[in-house]
Amino acid sequence: MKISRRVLLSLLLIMGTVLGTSPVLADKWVGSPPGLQRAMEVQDRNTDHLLTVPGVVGTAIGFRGDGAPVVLVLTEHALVGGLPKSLEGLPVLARVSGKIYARHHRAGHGGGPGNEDPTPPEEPSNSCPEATDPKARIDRPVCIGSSTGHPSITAGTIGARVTDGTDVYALSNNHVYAYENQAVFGDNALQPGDFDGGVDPADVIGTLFDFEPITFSDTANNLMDAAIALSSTANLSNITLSNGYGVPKSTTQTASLNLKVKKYGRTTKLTKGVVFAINATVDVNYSNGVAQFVDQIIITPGDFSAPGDSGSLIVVDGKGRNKGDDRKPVGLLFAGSALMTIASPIDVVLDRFGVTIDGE
Amino acid sequence: MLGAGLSIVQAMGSENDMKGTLAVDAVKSHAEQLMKLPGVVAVGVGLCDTQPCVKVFAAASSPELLAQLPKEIDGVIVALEISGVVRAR
Repeated sequence: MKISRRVLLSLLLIMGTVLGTSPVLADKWVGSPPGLQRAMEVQDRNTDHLLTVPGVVGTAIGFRGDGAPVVLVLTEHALVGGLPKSLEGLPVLARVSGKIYARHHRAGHGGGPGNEDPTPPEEPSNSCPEATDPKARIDRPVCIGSSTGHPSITAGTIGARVTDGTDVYALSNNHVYAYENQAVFGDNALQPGDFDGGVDPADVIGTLFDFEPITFSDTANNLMDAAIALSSTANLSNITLSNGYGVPKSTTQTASLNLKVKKYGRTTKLTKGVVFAINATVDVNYSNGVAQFVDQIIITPGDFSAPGDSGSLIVVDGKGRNKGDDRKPVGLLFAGSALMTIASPIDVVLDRFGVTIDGE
Repeated sequence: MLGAGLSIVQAMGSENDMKGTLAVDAVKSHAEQLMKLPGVVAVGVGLCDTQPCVKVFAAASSPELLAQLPKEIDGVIVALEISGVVRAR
């Protein structure tokens, strides 16, 4: 499922890049989506004309809930008029994407005549050395550890910037970016999250790219609560706010008992704790019901995290002879009680998405 | 999760590694059964004093739980922790 999704995303990325848009993807691929080829041809024939409509910033192929392809017209705002209801028999849906930010182009990536960028974008200045409030809207590229979320949720935390070697993604939880399985690929990721005043689409930093579905059952063997949103170096930094721990290392460390750790999150900012239990089976309460997780990490004390810290990256707090291990990623925070915090082992999460921490 | 050569206890010796392996095995084979005990929300490998043991986390203590909780599993100590209910954050 992951591979087919990736292949299709690449295809749509190429289309989107050529057209200067980001693709919007649908959920639930089963094999090759029927009608995709024809939809692409229709899109190809009509895009130039659609782009002449004021407020239209791009086109893409999307899929309705029943799997039927549609032409998506991406618009800067909701008030764009003059769009056809269908094209050559294919439904046309308008979707507010806001302004499309240029992705960081790299030699050998993408290709096609529209992908040549004669003036490479300047590296944006980084506001993180000054930012101290993770709930606030932070100038782009936004610092990790700050408030984020799918437009339908309250707020969680950007854990880290991760990379597959080509693109960069914001790492957080399924319940932060994928709305407990209910989101659609391509849904917006905001900074700050809705609860903290984030506005869709003005505060978009990325789009939902992949998530591990959560099985809601107290006999399930969930391994993680994790999701990634496709972002860019222009929108997403890899350093915490100034009152955090800085840039995480790219090399990870397996959790061990008594390991000293720290994290930076939206609610409790920088906190320190210790690995209290490993290989843990845990029943976690969600708005959708209870989900059982296995092979998790338990961290104490209780004030290590609070609601809103979900998605935080937990790293080693290395001092003295362990200083070399400082900031090595250990886990992805997603749940807790009054007395403990639950995290998924970071290696399992990174392997699932085929990415590494884009760190030091 | 625990590969060869990886210590499950930070900065401790091989004796604890062996006990750690026993505790990991005890959790693996008994987590399902322990999770069914009244009020239990989590089961994992932790430390009792300095030795790896089975930690059972419950939302609250109760006479029913205390009556059913084993003192040890496969020679590994079982310790109860009161944790409260676990929620997504």
